[in-house]
Amino acid sequence: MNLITPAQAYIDPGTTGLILGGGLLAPIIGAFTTFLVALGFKRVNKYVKLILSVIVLLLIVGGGGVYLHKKNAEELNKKVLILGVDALDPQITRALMDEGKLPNFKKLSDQGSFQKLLTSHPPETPVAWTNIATGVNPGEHGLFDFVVREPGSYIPKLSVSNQSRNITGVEYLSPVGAKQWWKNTSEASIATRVYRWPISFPADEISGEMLSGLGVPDIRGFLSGYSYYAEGPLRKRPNKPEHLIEVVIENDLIKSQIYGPMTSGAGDKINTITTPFTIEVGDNEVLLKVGDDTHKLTTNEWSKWIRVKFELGFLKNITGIFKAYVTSTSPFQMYVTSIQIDPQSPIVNLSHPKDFSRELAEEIGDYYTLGMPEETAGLIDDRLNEEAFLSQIREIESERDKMFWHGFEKFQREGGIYAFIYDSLDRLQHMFWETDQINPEIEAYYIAKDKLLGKILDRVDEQTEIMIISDHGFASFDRAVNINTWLYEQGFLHLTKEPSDSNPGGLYEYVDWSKTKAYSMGFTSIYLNLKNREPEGIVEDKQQVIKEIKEKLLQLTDNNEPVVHNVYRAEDIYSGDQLRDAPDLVVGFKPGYRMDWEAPVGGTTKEVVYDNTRHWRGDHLVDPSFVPGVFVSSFRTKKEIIEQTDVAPTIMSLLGQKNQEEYEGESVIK
Amino acid sequence: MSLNKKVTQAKKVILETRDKYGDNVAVAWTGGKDSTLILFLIREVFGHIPWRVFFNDSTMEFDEIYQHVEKMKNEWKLDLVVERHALADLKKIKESDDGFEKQRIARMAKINSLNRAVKENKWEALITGIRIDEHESRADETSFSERNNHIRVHPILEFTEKDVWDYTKENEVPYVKLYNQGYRSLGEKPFTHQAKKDGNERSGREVDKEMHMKQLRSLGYY
Repeated sequence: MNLITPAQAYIDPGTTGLILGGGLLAPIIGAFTTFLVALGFKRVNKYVKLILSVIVLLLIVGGGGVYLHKKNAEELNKKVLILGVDALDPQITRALMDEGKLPNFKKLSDQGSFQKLLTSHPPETPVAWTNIATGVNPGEHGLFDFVVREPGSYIPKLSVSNQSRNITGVEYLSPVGAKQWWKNTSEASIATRVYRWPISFPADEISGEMLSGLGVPDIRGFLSGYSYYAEGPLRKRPNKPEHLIEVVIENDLIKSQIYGPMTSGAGDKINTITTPFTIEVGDNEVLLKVGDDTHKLTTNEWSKWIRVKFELGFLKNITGIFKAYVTSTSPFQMYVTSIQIDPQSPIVNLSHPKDFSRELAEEIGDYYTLGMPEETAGLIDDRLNEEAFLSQIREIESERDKMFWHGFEKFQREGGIYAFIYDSLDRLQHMFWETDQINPEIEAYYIAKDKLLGKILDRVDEQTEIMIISDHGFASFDRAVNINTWLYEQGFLHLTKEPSDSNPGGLYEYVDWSKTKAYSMGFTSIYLNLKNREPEGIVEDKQQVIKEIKEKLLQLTDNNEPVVHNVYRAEDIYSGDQLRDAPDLVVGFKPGYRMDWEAPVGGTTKEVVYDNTRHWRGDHLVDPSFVPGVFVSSFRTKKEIIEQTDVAPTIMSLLGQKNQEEYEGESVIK
Repeated sequence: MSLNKKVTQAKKVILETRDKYGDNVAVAWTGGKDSTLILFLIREVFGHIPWRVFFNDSTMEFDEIYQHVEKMKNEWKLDLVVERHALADLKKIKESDDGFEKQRIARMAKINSLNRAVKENKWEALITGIRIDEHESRADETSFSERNNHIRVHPILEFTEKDVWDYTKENEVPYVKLYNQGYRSLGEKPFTHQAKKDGNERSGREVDKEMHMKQLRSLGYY
């Protein structure tokens, strides 16, 4: 049996090709075996490595450490703290500041600056945070959309996950094709701490500590995936990734199993490794037994962390952690979070040093390791209620606060730079956005961050400069738009059957490529079916087709109002080596509109524009001009409009580093 | 769960299907061991099959399957609805020289036939013999799973391959003798081979695209 690491389970188009192709999976199985052997070998050698590390560490502390400390204190002069808050919206922040509800933001703004930070094309977390991290545009770093096509195919893939398969096995690689600022500070031997920066997985070897954020998979290799255990019969809904397990209570006892990592067995079969558990269902008490542990669960409360061991055979085990939420004992209903990679014994590089994730867990307790652990899907699918979702967000924030202060104490001692990204606000706003007012839960989040800032300001010394940044703002999402359906209606895309809501035909199942000029993928991207680029490309006059699509798309209306604010040609907004993989056109929607649920993965629907009825109520995937982020700093700035690519050079300037040619932006320090 | 308990559950689901959907139900029957077991269980519950039985004829099934279908049709007095693959699809399969492409077209043809039959006959529910342990993508199914235009009913979802054989042998449920020759799962003849030793049940059959969609949708944005 061969372990499919999350890397493998992350099915990229290459893998899909293998799986769909059938039989072709066999050659990589050998590679997995090698990978496992390597894994085991590493473990055997751990103690040897540990001893060597201690010796090296002693040498550094004895000699080099003194030098480093001096360098930080004397030459660089500044300490830099970056507090990232994903999706912190400038309008809300300003409004709450004006109402006196964010006194610490006000204090910092008065001392330094409060500005909008222009966001990326498109305004998406992976693209925006990578612009900020690298100081270059997507044409250089290569991240264009959450979902992109594998060049040379029509198969959509998630851009945030990048795996490589070679003779030694399978490993994750960073999808970022440019250098992040933390590599530059590390080269300059500046103490560097980066916690939960989106798209920092796998963790880079920096001169300090890194804990990866968005991009870290669950134990199955997915970006999320809950399980719902309930007395049946249950109804599974179409086009939903939900995992429903029907249970039967016999003599007050439920016997079921936890679904863990996937393995490739003989043939093409993908097996899921499971671990049995039992649940004793009393009137008021539920006891969950897994392995040697018994956990008491209370209804309508998240459980404590539950550790589960998956046996892979050959004395090899993988552990994961999860939380459960029992909503009812009669009939029995229990929600189980995505199984997180165990921070105390991670199977992938969650952190640098590798042991840092464990050290952190020993200090603050176990914690959510998944990139996006908020159970948004559970709320949308109505398997979790609002209170359960909100209480999970509060638990996540509480863990993050503990993480933040852990890093902060070290930053206070060692100086250098410390970047910490909070990102639950993004998910909270997606779920609870209201068009005409600020939802109280959202307001409470902003106020909590202001209090955090207050505590930080009480602690930092005069040498510390602070930047609070967000990747984008937020807008409402009232109407969903399927650009593939629009392309079909306009004659740019041909289908072998009429579009229908009941059978959207994901993965371009019904597309007739021999007649198709353009197709949409991801949340803002349109690609031409270009001759000699696409597998069955037909378009020769690229600019003419681009012109036609752009003109017509700008005329798309809904209730007599335009749906699209602007349409951008790749070469007008991107430049660099990776431009060849960019979408040919990027759509900038008007606020209130967003790409629908099917077009991102190649599906079509009956209507081009229709109501968004899901609990996913707000979004930021509109024209960048409507959703800038926030830039608040302890220092004054010289630019009126700050761009994301200015952040990295500003960091380097604050730290006294001169080499800034590689950045497209410039330092904004006055 | 014991096999007895599983059988009881299966019968419960069959009864519930009758309560919920009355006569607007069909049983999808491939002639294979699983769906034949379903027919057997329905007869156990009602004494006869109160619904129409749908046979999706790819025209590429094994001869033994066709013989079995004919034999059982007479013995159990089945009200059989046969839907054949569209000629255009069959032509495409014949013309393609790519094995994978052939299978893809065959799969689509099968789905098209099924959808056609569901639509024409206005079936609300379709009972099938899928089991969780057959394939990873089925781990997410439940006894009643909503499809685009009908409900799929899965009475033997929890049965393992061994359960099916234990019950079949013990109760003398009729089955195609090909299973005695090393075939463990019967698909269309051109795409099915004897299972490899120690291989899995469906090792001769294609694996579908559901895993990829599952992976994409795990982003949570759609």
